[in-house]
Amino acid sequence: MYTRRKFLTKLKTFFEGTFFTFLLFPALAESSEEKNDYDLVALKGGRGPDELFRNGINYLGGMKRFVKKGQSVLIKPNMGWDRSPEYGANTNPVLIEAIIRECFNAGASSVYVMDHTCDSWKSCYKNSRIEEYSVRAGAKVVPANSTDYYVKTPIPRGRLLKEALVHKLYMQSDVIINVPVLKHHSSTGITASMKNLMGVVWDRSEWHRKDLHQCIADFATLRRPNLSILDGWRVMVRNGPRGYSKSDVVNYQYLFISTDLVALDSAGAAVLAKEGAGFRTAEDVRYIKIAKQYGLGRTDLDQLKIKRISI
Amino acid sequence: MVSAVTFIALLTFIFFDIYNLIPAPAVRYIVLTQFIPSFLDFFTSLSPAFYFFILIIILTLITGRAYCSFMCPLGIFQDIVIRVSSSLRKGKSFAFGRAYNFIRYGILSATAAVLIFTGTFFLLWFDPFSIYGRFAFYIVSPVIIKINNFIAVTMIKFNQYTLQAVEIKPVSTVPVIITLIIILLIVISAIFKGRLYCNTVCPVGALLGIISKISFLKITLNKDTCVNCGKCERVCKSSCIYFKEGTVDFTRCVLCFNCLAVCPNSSTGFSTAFPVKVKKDNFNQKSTAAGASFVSPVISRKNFLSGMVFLPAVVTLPSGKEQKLYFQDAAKQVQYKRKVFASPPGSVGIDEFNSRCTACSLCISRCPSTVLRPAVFQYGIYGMLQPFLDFSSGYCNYDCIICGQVCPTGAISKTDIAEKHLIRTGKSVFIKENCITYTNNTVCGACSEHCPTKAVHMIPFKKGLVIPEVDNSLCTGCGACEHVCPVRPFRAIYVDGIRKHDKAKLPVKKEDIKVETKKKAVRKEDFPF
Repeated sequence: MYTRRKFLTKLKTFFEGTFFTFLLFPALAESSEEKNDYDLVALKGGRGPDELFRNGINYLGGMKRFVKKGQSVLIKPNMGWDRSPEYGANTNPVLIEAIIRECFNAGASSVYVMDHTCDSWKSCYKNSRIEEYSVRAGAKVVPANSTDYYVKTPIPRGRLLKEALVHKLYMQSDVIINVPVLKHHSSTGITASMKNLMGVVWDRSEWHRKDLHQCIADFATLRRPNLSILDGWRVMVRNGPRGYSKSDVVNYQYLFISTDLVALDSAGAAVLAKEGAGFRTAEDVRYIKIAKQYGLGRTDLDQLKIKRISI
Repeated sequence: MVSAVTFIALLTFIFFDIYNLIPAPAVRYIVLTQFIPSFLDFFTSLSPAFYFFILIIILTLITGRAYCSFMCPLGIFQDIVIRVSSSLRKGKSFAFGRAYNFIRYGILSATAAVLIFTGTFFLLWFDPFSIYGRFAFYIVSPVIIKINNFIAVTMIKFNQYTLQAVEIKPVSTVPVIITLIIILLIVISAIFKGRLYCNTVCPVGALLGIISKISFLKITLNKDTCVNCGKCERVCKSSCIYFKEGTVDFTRCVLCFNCLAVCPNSSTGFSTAFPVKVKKDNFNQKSTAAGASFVSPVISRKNFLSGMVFLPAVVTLPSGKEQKLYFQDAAKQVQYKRKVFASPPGSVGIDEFNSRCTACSLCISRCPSTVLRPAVFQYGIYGMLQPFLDFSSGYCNYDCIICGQVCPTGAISKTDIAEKHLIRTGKSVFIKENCITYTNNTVCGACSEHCPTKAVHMIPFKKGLVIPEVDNSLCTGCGACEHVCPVRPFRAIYVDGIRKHDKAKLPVKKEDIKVETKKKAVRKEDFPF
């Protein structure tokens, strides 16, 4: 029965909703003002990477610029290792959850999360806690442990890597959001945005066998992620990419957002260079240099329009 | 009947639980309801566990070999086979046969002697749970996984990801064939001779048979009311009723109660060995300590259909999917001959492991990284079918202790993660001449990437290149480096097992790096660019 009490309760929620919408409206209006022409947004501090992300994405035009109504989204975190979040080996699950929620707010029809892990996939999905946080936010966590999920894809611009088995979702999703974590890497020096894409191919050892740097750059030519978000909240500065103990991790509290993979990697390289990762500038890392030559992005950070925010 | 179906369902399910619905410690307790596992666990681990085999012995002292019909998965499996075959061939019947006591007690005493002096070598081949476990894992689970994968792959086509396609664990051909032969022999003997295996070969059956000689309740024939129809003898799976003489060889009786069901005037009874009769109705309500309830011995249609699950168990052997693309010239490579194949961490050493493991393959089925595989001759003849660490199919996860958690016999002892980090099962050997960095002058470093302790680390090589170096004091022998090394046909890094596990050093933790946080104002120096 539709009682008076029920009607009043509904009326109350309705007014509350309107009130809060108007309360938030100034902020929304502000975010749309000429804010979306930054090449890279760099943030630091705050309560967590989720807060940084929600702040930063507004300076690139908000999530609505990247995710349109009804589109399917693939979020590609780094969860390659069977390690808990505080070791910094995997992307921060808090960040993943925030991104998923923003995607749904922007009208995404479905959000998928996957990674072809190094350690056994179930342990990785579970212990990185990304599965738990993603499911909570409403995303579908998709396995990548069997060739059934992969399709053979030619890489026309690849010099050494001409073909690869690529995860179905990477080729099919309307929007790709690449969410790597910034880490030291024992052989390439740095792993960040471009290296993270290695987790959507089936045969990783082929890259190692051929020429790791060249293959990383080659694969980046296949499909550029619509948005890349580099998690630098906890940065593994040595013993990467797996890390040994928590002492390998520095709590930098960074978050870099860009559509330019190469610029993001350069920003990450600038952070790691300070920690003695074995290179001085981004272009000392060969795959970044090759990617720049391919015209995939820019390494000259001083020329880019960067929004720097400290919270 | 309920208990029989529950036991076989649970004990089969744990071998293909691809979604990990039952956690590892629970799996162990499910298996510890079996006689041999709980018996071995009692002597190997000596830790507070539950000693189900004592309960089984007490149960046998009261009722006879109820275990064989209601709890043993191999026994229940044979019952299903018998039921299926007799419904296919109507009019087929069993008849009294003599007991092969020489073989039966011979195997029992040989098993006992071998167990005391060397180890589980005989149990590995004769323990009913291990035989059934291998059957469930090598033959039933691939079929189930294939069905699952078929559905999953169909669903993937429509972008549905609720079911997961799972790789079938690679098992070499020999163990599958051995298992298949053993199970076929048992199936054939079950079809023609009923519970022949249980009463001639099975050491558990023999032992419980001896105990059942003095059991309180027994199957009896009442000569006064018997009409000599002989039905009881014809339905007796154990061939232990000789109605002409009016005798029942109770050491062979597995308490299927078929004889009670067919007797036209209740001349067969289940009663105390003393002349005092227990009425048939009484024991119908009686339930035992193990929760086994003796209701009706008739297998219903539903159970019959559940038995049909096993019929399509046709194995397709996994083919070797080695990659063909090699950048290396085999002639220029150094071949490395592995000296020792490592046993799972927690097994103390290879000799100890070989003498404790019954090769039930439970750990192999639960290993999340597929590093455990059944040995053929890797351990020699004594350790056939026992799991060894095969780094070509996986590597031992640094933070995983599942094999120790599930091992029901205590062959792989339970460890916690901190203990496991210190166990060294092997040492790595780096062969520089095979390394990609050395031969191709490109970076690789996959071994060092995966090394959990950084025993394999990178040192400067030529300009802009780094090459692996091994510090074996830190190495745990997990085999990650060997597994991921992309060089073929011979890898550039190998892990050689050690016969007696020792301790690895923990890497020295460096001091924490402190970074000042919480800046309010936007400052250029917050960012390095």
